Amino acid sequence: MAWIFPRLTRRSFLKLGAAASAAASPLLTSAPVKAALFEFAHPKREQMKAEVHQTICNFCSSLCNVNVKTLGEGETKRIVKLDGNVESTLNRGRMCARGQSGLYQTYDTDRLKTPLIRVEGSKRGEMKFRAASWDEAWKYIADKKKQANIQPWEWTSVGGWTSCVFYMNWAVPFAVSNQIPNLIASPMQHCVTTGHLGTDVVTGNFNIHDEILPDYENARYIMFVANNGSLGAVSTCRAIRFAEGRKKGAKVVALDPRLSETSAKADEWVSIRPGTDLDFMLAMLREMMTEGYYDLDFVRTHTNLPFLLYRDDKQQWQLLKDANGQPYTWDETSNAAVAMKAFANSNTMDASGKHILPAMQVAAGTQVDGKPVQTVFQAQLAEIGDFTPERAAKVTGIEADRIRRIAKEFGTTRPSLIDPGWMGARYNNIQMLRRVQAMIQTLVGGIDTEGGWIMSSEYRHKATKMLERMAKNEQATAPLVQTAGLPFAQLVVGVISKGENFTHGKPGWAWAWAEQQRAEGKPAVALPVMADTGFKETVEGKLSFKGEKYLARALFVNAANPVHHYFPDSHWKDILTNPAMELVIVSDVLPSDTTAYADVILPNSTYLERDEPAMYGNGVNHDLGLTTRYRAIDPLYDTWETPDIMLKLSEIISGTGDGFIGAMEALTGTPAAKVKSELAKLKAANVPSPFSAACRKVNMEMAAEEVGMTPDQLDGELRRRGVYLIESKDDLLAKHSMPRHQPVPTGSGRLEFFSSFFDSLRGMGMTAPNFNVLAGYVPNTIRSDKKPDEPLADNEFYFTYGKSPTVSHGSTNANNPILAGINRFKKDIYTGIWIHPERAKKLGIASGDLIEMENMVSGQKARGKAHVTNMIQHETVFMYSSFGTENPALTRAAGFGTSINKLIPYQVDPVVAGFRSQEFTLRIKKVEGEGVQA
Amino acid sequence: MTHYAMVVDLNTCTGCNACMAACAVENQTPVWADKWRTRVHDQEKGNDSANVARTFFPRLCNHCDIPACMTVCPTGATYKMDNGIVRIDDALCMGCQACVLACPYDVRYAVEYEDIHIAKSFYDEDVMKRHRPGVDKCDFCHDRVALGLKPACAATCTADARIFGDLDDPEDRVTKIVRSGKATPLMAHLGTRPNVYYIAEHREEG
Repeated sequence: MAWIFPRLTRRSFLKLGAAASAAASPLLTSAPVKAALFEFAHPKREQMKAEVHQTICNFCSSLCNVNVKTLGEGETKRIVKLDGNVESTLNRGRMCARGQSGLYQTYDTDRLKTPLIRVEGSKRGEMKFRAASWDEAWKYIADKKKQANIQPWEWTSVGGWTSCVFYMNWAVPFAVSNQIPNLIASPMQHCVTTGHLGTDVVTGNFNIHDEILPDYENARYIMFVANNGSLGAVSTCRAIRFAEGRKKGAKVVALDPRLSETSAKADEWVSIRPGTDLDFMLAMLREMMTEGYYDLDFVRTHTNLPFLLYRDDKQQWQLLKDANGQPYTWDETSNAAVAMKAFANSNTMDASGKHILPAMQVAAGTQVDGKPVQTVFQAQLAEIGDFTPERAAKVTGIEADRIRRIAKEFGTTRPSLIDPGWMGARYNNIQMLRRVQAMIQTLVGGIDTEGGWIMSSEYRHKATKMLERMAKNEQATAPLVQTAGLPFAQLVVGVISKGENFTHGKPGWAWAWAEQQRAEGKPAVALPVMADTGFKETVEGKLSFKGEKYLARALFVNAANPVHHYFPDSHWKDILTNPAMELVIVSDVLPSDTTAYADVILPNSTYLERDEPAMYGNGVNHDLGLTTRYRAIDPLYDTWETPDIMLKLSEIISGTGDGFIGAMEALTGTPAAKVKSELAKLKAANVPSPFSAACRKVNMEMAAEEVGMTPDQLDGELRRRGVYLIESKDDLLAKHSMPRHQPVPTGSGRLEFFSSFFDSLRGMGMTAPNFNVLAGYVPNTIRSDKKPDEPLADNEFYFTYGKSPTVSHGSTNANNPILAGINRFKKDIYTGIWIHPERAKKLGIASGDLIEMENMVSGQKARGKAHVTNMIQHETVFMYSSFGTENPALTRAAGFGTSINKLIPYQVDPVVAGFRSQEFTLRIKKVEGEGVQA
Repeated sequence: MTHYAMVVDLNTCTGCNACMAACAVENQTPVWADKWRTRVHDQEKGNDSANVARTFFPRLCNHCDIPACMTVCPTGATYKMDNGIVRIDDALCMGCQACVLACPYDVRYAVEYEDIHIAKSFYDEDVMKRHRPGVDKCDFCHDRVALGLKPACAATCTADARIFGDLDDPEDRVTKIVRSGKATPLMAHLGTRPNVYYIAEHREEG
């Protein structure tokens, strides 16, 4: 490198020239010239007013508390830095790369700045829009609705995770009041109803976002299974606790076909064959049960393992119950079967209050009420009796002794912790995998306790209140916000699956579709909760309900990006470009791939520009607290808040917004009269997004009353500290730990090995192994005609994907200029197709080569650059799921990397329509010629 | 006296890049030109599946006690503060980049007119921290440190892998780690006496 002076570009030269021409003689090295050449803009920074504002991060469901530093005042006020809030016990002053870069989402030059209307004559997908006023946009929507005569049930509302976390109390009343039974929520089929529900049927938990924050920092043995998202990609509250645990010397074991960010931190990386984690876990469960690697006191007392079962005449396991529906156990003290309370947190007493000692196993031939019985423990062990470590070894590629050793280490080290998992929905068997993980965690007594899984305090608090109400036989006054755990899931299913809940008599099209499929003897999904199954068919006119055509002709997509998030990309593009789809409205902050397919785009403020309409719990924090967002700057552009958009849409769909506000009161307890009077005042004062502001005011009053403060006091506290802490983890665990001190919201109140949830689905006639009432084998169908241990062809590979630490699955965050800079720096790793050197060599592939991947089931094809690495199991290729944006309006993200949904076909599981997004193999070849170089 | 130093614990860094982002925003570095004050390298080690390892390796200015960059600076722009931070005086830097060549840790980069021009819109001219081209590198966020804050990278590190402290304070966590001998600097043999220490990775045998 030569020594060079700062380069004078033509542009800066001209600028300087203009300044210098004012000086008398440009040739003299006199003071004025020197000043002209070296006078740079005077630093104003030091004189500007500095402020700190409180908010909540918006880039994952961990909900970190954030301090926003601004300089200046009024219109020129500028956000200069985001920091983790040090007062927050959730993220302890820390934030990940996405959080740190968040202000450049707000300042992204590609933002949606005004409402946009698709140019007449252009097609959806062409991204041809004209700027419009809000009045024009609303008129366009109202005219279209009228002209096409769109009926309430023909609307579908699609929400992203922020709609759930921040606006559920608006989104659900919006749907219910406007008689719209159709909701698609984007994280459902990807994780919540698949992976999480597997966990939840054991623990009773079910939450709209996070349920469990594992207490890594007090654990001595930590396992990760099919999961990099919760630690490596990155949930800050988890990452900081994990680092503490590792520093304290916890042993870490990670099962992953890839040396992921998480596996890189493990003492042991178990490079498992993709899709075989369940085989490993069943062997581990079996080993722990047979070898006694469990906390006997805990499982005897707080699980349904000692409940008695019998086989009915269909050879199905049934709980043995007395005439009052109370379950039996075998009491070792009296050596007799005794009935216990149907819903309780412990098995220490029989139904009459007498102390008992439930047996884990009964002698062979034991009969009760004339029926041969076994305990759940015995039946469970028998169910997985064949799943020896040797059998698992053959399938997983991991030696039997190693499986045995890990089972022993996990089962005999206390406290030990197996991360529940973050994203589900890769395989048909992932729900069962997560269920077995929850059982394994239960066996070591690590539920809602130090060093184990600790429930989100917000969720536990809600459950505690609900259980108190249930004990007093009181009804919920605001069911949407007062119902916790599985009963919440059942509440939602109850509303949208039944036509009688709507004036038009129609259930959601997903449920009608399932019914039609069943009637035709075709495979159907049992619980398509907020899933997209049947949507395409409905749009295409293939659905009838009670003899009438059921159509889907209008879409409202709010902060969701199904064209990039759902599988395959063509599925949603077909839906959106179908001529029968009359109206597509998309609300977002950035021009996502989905916005290109809209008729009307409604621009939203970013999280740094808005006050939220409510107070929120402190996410998944172990401490119970309240928090909310305060706007740091006024909205930069002509944007509206989500509640106001929903109110206006309600006026268009139903003729008035009163029903919406009324439904809010009925479902969430927010007094409608108060909201309306505040709304009138704020409207008169010309406050932007007045409905959101009115809700905020009323909700602040309600939250303040709840914690015994005045609204001003609570507001002041939140403005100063960002979080108001109500109760600490230690106090909460000492009083309300579940199930040690109160029942869990399962059917029995105990942690369940015999699942009352799947028991209740038996009437639907579902016979797939996914519906097993006990933990059992569920095959993956990656290669439907072959066994997992049969060798692959030379050019055949398993497919895996994962989230990068900088950009969530297919997020518009790929456009964030800071994150884009990091991604370019790590381009080979982040956008490359990871492939093992031995396999690559056989195919003549070197790092940097362009390769073509072809789905061997669906024929879908995509291309990418090879990243040849030993950090991948040799039968597998991996790619990050963060990239491959198509919309050229995202100038930094478009064309960067490959999108996974170019390769993933539409395949769903039979329980909740979870995506089986890795159930296929790829054929890989090097792309020759075309001037491609290594 | 104060003697600032940093310990990087390679056992906990997960390569989340939060430090890169925090530093870029705090110090307004030209990310569009791939110029960073700190980087986290994602390194693969080992030649086969049996012994492969993945290491995340954060790098930054080592704030050497005997800084090679300072020795070669012809204008005196590079100087060492009393608290040990090595800084560049923008007003004195003529951009010759001798320091960029001299630094054995390759952590300095040139800021060009074009970068300043882009920064005016990217970072907003009113709030810009630097207005002159020249040479840039980590200064342990000296302005934050002066306010009693940690450098942006250490403050946000999601793995507590970057530990910032004062080696002149015997009770400081950093001092204790350095004294224990657990942490070692990079290329100590060069005699630059760096003040960034690394705790090497330790894995239990599987």
